[in-house]
Parts: sequence; structure tokens; C-alpha cells
Amino acid sequence: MDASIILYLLDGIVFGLVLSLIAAGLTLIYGLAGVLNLAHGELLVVTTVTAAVLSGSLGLPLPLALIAGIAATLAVAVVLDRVVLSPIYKLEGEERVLLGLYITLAFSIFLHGGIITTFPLAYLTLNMPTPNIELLGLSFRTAQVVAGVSSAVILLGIYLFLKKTWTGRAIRSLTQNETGALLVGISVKKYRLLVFMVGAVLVGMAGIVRSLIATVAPESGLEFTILGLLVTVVGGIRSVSGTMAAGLVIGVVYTFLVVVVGTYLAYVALLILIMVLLLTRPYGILGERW
Amino acid sequence: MVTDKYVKTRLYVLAALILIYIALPLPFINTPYVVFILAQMTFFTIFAYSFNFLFGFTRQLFLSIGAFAGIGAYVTGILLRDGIAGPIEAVALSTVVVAIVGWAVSILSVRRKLVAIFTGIFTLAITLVFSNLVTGLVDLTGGETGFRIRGVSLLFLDNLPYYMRYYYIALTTLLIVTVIAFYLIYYTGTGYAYRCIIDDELSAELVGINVQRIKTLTSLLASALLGFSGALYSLFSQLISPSYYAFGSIDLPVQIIVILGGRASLLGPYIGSAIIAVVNESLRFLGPLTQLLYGLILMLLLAFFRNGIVDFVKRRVAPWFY
Repeated sequence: MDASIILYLLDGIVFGLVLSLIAAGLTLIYGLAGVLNLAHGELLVVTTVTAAVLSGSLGLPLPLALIAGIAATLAVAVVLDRVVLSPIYKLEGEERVLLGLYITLAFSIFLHGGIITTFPLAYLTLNMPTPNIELLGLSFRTAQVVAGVSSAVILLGIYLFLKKTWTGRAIRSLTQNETGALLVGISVKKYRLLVFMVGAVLVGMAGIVRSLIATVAPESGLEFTILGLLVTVVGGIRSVSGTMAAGLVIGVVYTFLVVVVGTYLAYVALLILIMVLLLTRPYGILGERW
Repeated sequence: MVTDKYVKTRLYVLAALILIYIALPLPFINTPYVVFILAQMTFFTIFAYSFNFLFGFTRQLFLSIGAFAGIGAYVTGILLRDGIAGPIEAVALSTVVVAIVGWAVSILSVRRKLVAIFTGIFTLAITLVFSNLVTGLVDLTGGETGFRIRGVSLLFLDNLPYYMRYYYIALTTLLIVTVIAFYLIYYTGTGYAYRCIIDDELSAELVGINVQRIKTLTSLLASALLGFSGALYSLFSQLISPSYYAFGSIDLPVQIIVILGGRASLLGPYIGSAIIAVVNESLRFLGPLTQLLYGLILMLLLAFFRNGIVDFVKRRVAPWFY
């Protein structure tokens, strides 16, 4: 029993880290551009579908296909920021948030429709060469350990990037006080594009990590968007560290709920928990204002 | 009473609308498919009316239109299937249940001062809870495949062909709602209150409008309408399954209808749903590609035609005649 609890915990942590990767991008984009990007999960699918198509039917080596997947996601993110969302940056306040929500929803329907009809069978699964490793009498799946470690490294990287580098500081200053940042000479337009690209890379990596532990289907974009959105809301919509914490909490809670009550009811319980949190702690579990 | 130069035109438009919609299915009495499309269009106009009142007039972004209609449908369906209640009691109970749910959501979001987007996420969570519950509770709801209800009598309407019954019952609901809304908005103080809330909630509060009461009452009535029409829609479609009430099947078309027709307008949902019905039918040959096209159309509409057709006509066409 104890052994399986450790394994479930690991399961939950890895799932939580993937959710954190998705949600970190959402949080960054919302903080800087004021857009709650409902096409975020579709970006993940863009990565996995491109990689699956290139490595599968075209026979490209896998690392190259994965890089191409990330590149395709980057391109879509640039189009999203520069073309699709360009009309909303003229608006302000709640109008902008609402229109952003709607336009990204429309963009995700568009992407979803395109992907589903063109590549309905582009499933991505990455298999590790050695399936299991033995440690302390327990048998861990190699894929899970690799997935957990790599997403933790990426998250640590993005945390250090935001805290230590000049660019990261510029992004944080824009999030906290746009006018102030403008006054000291930081270009919103430039950093907005950068944040969209960072978000795209993060969500693409999340897709790749996810495909290590499970199969990513071409129609699962909406599911990832919603999970990312819930994590973002629970973590406090402007706080990247809150998002990372919330991802872990939700991942672990969800995994244990699935074990105890089954898939559907676990999801329902998770949603109700999130609704309660939304009403009682609208600033997120770490309590940062948004 | 709102007295502007459009008073007469508005009344003429309302009368013309009623006449056109009553006569609409008569030429197609021998082609049930067309009547089916018309009935479906009318149901979606009702859904869009509810959403328009919630979001257009009082800025409450409810992304759970499909879930609310679905709760109505499942309550009615289960009661009828298990023989617990007759059709009238079942539909009445659905109306009450959904009204209470919508009212509670509105109270919570108003009390907690959730901004539109948070209300949106909250209600999106409700949509997901609904779809997972009805898919998960297989014993009660039939899971993914749902269940059938057949042969529900609609009293004196039973003499009409099947789809026409539902067309007229939906139309009666819709027209009653339209006339009441028309009266409230143009002939009582409520219309002014709505317009103040649309423009600026804070100022509305400052001039003494009880915004909280208007919001919660509006959502009580709009949800009751959703419960009622959702229950009827389930009798109309005869099959009750999660996919009929999913976000993509109801909420999405409703959003497009309201944006296309015009937010906070009484005529908007009629125009929007008529256009969507025609477009939908003429694009049917595209099959699954329609979704891609829907996304594209929605994006273009939002970018260039945000205020809808009614607003466009008011601004660009109406000045020619006055």
C-alpha cells in the first residue's frame, strides 16, 4: 500500500508539473497582454501533431521532429499575437479582456477544426529505451522520472529567467505597472511578442513531456486549455510562482481523486473544489492581487 | 417610456416579426425537414435571448447556457422516463430548478464581486461539472449515449405535424418573451436601468439603480426561460445525450448568434439565428470542415463587426430614412 502511494504521488507530481508548464505560459500572457489565451491548449496540440506527422509519415529523426514542432508552435503564437489579436490591443479594461477571450476562443476553434480534419490520426507517444528503473525496492517508470525532472528543470529555468535576467525583469515590470515600465523605456509590443513566444515554447515542452507519459491525441487541446485555465485561476492569475504551486496541488489532488472515486467524479470533485476556491480566494492560493 | 424618433418603426418591426414568424412554416408543410430546421432555429433564438439578457443587458458572462438547458432537459427526461410526473409537471419542475441554479450563481458572483471574466470561468466550470456528471452517472442518465423519450402529448397541438408542433410551441414562448421584454425595455424604468448598466455599472449604482437586484432578477428569469426551453428542446429532439447540450453544440452557436445579431438588442437574436440557420444548411456539404470555417467567421466578426447587424443598421442605414 505504502509503495503504491509513493507511485501515485509521483504520478500526481509529474502531471502537476505538466499543468504548471501550461499554466505558466497562460499566466505570463495574461499578465503582460491582458489576454486569457483560450487557444493555449491548441498550441500544445500543434507541437505534438507537427512532431507526430514529421516523425511518422515523413520519417524525420525524432529530435528534429520535436524541434520542428516547437518551431511550428512559435510561428502560430507569432501569428496569434501579431495578426489575430491585433484588433484588441486598441481596447482597454474589461472590453479588452472579454474580446481577447472571444477571439482566442474563435482561434482555438479554427485551429481545432483544421487539425482534426487534416491530421485526425496524429497521436504522439514517446517511448523511453529502458522502461523501468529499480530504486529502494520500487519500480519506477523511466519515462515518468525523465518527464518530472525535465519539466522541473524547465520551470526552474523560467523562474530564474524572470528573476535574474534583464529581459525577465522587464517582463515583470510590465506586468506590475505598464505605465511605469513604459516611462523607463520598455517596449510593450516587443515584450508582448516575446511573452507569447515564451508561452508557446513552454506549452510545446509540456506537450512533449506529456507524450513521454501518455499519448497526446490531436483533439485534446480544449482539455489542456481548461486544465491550464483552472490552474491559472487557482494560482492567482498574475502570479507565476502561485501558478507553479497550484499546478502541483491540482495534479496531486486529481491523481488521488481518480484512484479513489474514478475519472468522471474526480473531475467533478476537482471542479467543485476550484469553484469554491474561486469564490473564497479570488486572488489565488498565494494571495497575490490581479 | 422611451420617446425617440424610432417609436413607430419599432412597433412596426415587432408586428412584422410576429406575422412573419407565424406564417413562416406554412409554405413548407410538406417538407418536414425545413420545418425541423425552423423549429431548431427558434429554439436557438430562445437560448440566445437568455444569453443576451444575461450578458448583453447585465454583463454577466454565463458560459453555461448549454448546461442550464441540459439540466432542464435531463430533469424532464428522467421524470418522464421513470413515470414520476406528467409532461406539464416535469417541464414546470425543470423551469424552477434551473431558475434556482441560475439565481444562485448570479447571487454568488454579484456578492463576491466577480468581474465578467471570472463569472465566465466559474460558469465554464459548471458546464464541465454538468457534462462530467451526466456522462459519469451512467445508471441515471444513460451516460454517453443518453436515453430516448417518445410520444409526449402536447394537448391541442397534437393535430399538427410533429415538427410544426414544436415550432409553434417554441415560437409562442419566444414571442411572449419578446413582447414582455419589449414592454419592459421601452415602456418602463427597467429599460433605463439596463441601459445605465450597459454603459457604466458604477454610475448606474450612483444614480440609485439597484444593480445587484436587477442582475439577480434578470438571471432568475433568463435561467427559468432556459430551463423551460431546454425541457421542450429535449421533447423536440426525443434523444437526451450529453453531446446535445455540450459547450460546442449550444453555447458556441449562441455566442455567434448574439455577436452577429447585436448585443443588448431585442431583434438581434432573431437575425443572428436566421443567418446561422441558413449558413449552417448551405455549409453542410463541407462536413467536419465547418468547424474551421466557424472559427474563421467568428474571428473576422469579432475583429471587424463587433457590434452586430442591428447596431450597423441603426448607425449606417437608419439615417437614410429619418
